[in-house]
Amino acid sequence: MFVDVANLADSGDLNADVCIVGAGAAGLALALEYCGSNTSVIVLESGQFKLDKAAQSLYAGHVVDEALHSPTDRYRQRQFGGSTSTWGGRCVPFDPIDFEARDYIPHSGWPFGMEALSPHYARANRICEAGEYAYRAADCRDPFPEMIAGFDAADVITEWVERFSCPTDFGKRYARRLELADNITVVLGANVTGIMLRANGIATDALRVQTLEGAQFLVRASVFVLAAGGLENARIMLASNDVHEHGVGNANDSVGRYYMCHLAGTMGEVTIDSDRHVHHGYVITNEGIYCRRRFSLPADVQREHRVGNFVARLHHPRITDPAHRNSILSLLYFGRWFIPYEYARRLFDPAPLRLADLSRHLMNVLSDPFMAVRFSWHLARDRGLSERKFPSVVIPSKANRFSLDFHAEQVPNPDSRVTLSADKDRLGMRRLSVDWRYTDEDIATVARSFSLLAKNLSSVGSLSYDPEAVELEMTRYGAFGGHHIGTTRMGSDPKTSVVDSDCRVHGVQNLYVAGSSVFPTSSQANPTLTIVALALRLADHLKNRLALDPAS
Amino acid sequence: MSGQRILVLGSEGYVGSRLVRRLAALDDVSAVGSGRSAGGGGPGYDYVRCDAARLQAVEPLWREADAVVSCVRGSNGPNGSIVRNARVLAHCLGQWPKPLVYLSSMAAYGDVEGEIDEMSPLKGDLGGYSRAKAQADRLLEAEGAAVLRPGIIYGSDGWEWSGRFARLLVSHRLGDLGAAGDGFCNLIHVDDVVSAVVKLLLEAGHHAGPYNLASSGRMTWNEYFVAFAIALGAVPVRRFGSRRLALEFFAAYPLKVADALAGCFGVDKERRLNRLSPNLIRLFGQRLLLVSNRADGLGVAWTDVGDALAASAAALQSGR
Ligand SMILES: Cc1cc2nc3c(=O)[nH]c(=O)nc-3n(C[C@H](O)[C@H](O)[C@H](O)COP(=O)(O)OP(=O)(O)OC[C@H]3O[C@@H](n4cnc5c(N)ncnc54)[C@H](O)[C@@H]3O)c2cc1C
Repeated sequence: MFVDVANLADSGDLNADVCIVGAGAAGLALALEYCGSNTSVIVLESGQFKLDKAAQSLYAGHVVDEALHSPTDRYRQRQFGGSTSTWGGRCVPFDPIDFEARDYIPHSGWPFGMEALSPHYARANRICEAGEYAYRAADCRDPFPEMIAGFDAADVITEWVERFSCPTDFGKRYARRLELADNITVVLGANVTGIMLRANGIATDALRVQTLEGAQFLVRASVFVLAAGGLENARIMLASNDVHEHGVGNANDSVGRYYMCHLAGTMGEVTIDSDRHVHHGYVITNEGIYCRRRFSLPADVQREHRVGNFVARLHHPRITDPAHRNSILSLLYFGRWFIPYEYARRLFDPAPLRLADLSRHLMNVLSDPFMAVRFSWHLARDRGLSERKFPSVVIPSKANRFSLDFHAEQVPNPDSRVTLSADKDRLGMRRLSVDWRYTDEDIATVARSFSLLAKNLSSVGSLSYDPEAVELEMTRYGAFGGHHIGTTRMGSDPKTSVVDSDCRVHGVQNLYVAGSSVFPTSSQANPTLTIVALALRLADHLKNRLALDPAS
Repeated sequence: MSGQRILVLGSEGYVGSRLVRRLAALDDVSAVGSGRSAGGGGPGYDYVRCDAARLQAVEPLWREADAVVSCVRGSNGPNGSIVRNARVLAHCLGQWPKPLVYLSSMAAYGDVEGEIDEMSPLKGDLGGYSRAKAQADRLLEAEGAAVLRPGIIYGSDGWEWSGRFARLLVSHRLGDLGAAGDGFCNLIHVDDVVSAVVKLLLEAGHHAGPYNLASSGRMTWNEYFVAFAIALGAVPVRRFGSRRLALEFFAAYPLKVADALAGCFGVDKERRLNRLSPNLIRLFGQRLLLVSNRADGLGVAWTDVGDALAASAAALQSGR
């Protein structure tokens, strides 16, 4: 059931078996596991059903290098459903290698292997509404068109696919289930501003909750789960310094460090032999799910070449550069002012707007107006009006000429971090300061992967790119938005990690963290499917824990 | 229990016809079917024309039978044939007690959600049918009948919950409904309903009281539609949102009129335009989970939903 925070604030403190902070992908996946059980659950959500400016402004913070990282109140939605109200829906599981400790990736290695998450991925896939758990092309549709006819290379494969959620807004999709569950209370407008540890510092006594209207109350529970997003989990822990001076779980100064996003960008020119058929677009499975092949590097190739995990897709040329002479891309260029910030970022080049470019874009549109109209219709029908949205822009190329859109693992780096700034939000909580950094290893991952691609694509065409430009292209639009990873990392050693393999904060008996902030490494995969799978695993753990020790 | 004479009221209906045929095939059972039309019999069993809502018609048949099953559909309302049939049966049970299995519906529980077992109250607040079934169930349970409350009875030649949906799926008017299709579908295969009745009558010994019947667990309508569409080859399955359902909702009334008119002109129901009535749309979202623990104890090996959908699809495709 949902309750109005205004009524609650008068009724004093709240109690439950489990208290979850945040109703995004992680918090809702966890809460859904308790629907109809005997466990009483309170979900504290800062936002409302619709985005509320005042709540969203609590996300505002400071960014050390604005060219490298988007503002902290972008790429996150402080509302019921969290950032799934705006996500793109790309679903990809981690690969087994992502869990391994690799000597060429500093601080790598999860405390468990893929097998610990495998049982949860299938259901996570369902919750994300990405259909059955099948990520090998042949398992998705038979036959699944080849990306490049006859492409069979040693180091680069195309048999793995990405699948797409609707994209499902978890808030809209699952609100009713929670509404009907008598044992679950979702409190909207409830901002957690502090974790109150017991005096001995080894257990959480309560959470401090404040409303924008000025009310304040406490929530007590047997166990608490922070699921406030990859950045906010760290913020709440750092800001809770009543007992431990440096914040909860931060005895070894790990909270907020190792902050990763993905390395992403569009680079190079791929030309495939004209006699080879290229299918770089989507395939729809029987269940109606959009899937797409991509280039990936098998685990042994990654090990041999000492590169992080990496994928790439055949893509259209950079939209901002009118040299592509494509009417659709130029149309998108003009449409950028109507596209939400998060999706329009690559449509705005850091370089100043030039009249000459504008007129070239206009000429492009006029050169093939029918194509532009057809595309607009496709966009309106298959994206605007469709419940299951066509995931992205796919431009056919008669000349078999493409760019490469890549998405790669960033190495964990303790100096890439979030801290608290001196500024406070209107609830008196210190705002975040983000100092995202990349390293030479990151550049090497992209550079070596491109060189492997160039070598392997030579059997079916060519890939040309400027190796000197890798760093520039990788950072052209800054850190990949929306994937906030590693700030409360998981590990067995409390000196270098924040939570243990059960996602429990080291040294605090009843405090857990859910979300991408616990990922020790970032993989090539978008995070949400794994966030949900981990939340389901955490639900199992908590159920066992409460069953074994109901008084805990 | 040898040589039992079992009377099946409503033996021309979807469940009744299968039940009477199953009984007829058993040794030691003499099955008697009955319905309102003339000449509705079949091989191996007798057929008697009878209005199950009239005491004078039912009484002689009842007295001759060793056990009775009522699969009568009937009309709604406080004096509709559902309630009148139940009154007749309750009267007969009181006068000449014998095993009675009454086929009711989960609709008797009404507009409820959550896990519903047989102890749950019968709210009967979902319109006339739901009210009538709740009233009938109360009457008959009090007299010691076994009352079966099946969920959605599906199966190859069922029109209402299989054929009709197949048509909607094939024409891509139905598919994954998102939150609107998140209700539990509570499927029970028609053969399983028949098996449960037979077990109750012949094997388990007669046990009075209510039995919920559903075998699809937590399967939702979305999952049912997606699985059925794939079995039918009606792919890719489409996703529908609230806009589209609102359209169906408003189209339902004009389509109902068109349907009635087509009926008057003798158009087959299979050939008429289907509609998603507001009640159906509501049902798709109802998170009522029918808990069938009592029926599980009967020892019926429930039909696998996937196998059944494949069979339904094959049958529908071959035009049977
Ligand atoms: C534009 C965009 C596109 C994306 N595309 C993809 C994609 O294609 N694939 C993919 O895998 N991922 C994608 N993501 C990322 C995805 O949205 C996130 O991984 C996911 O939403 C994270 O889930 P979460 O529950 O950890 O955090 P969130 O979804 O951010 O939820 C956190 C919740 O906590 C609440 N909260 C925060 N602070 C407090 C507090 N102090 N008290 C109470 N409540 C609080 C918030 O209001 C929010 O509801 C995208 C993100 C963006 C922005």
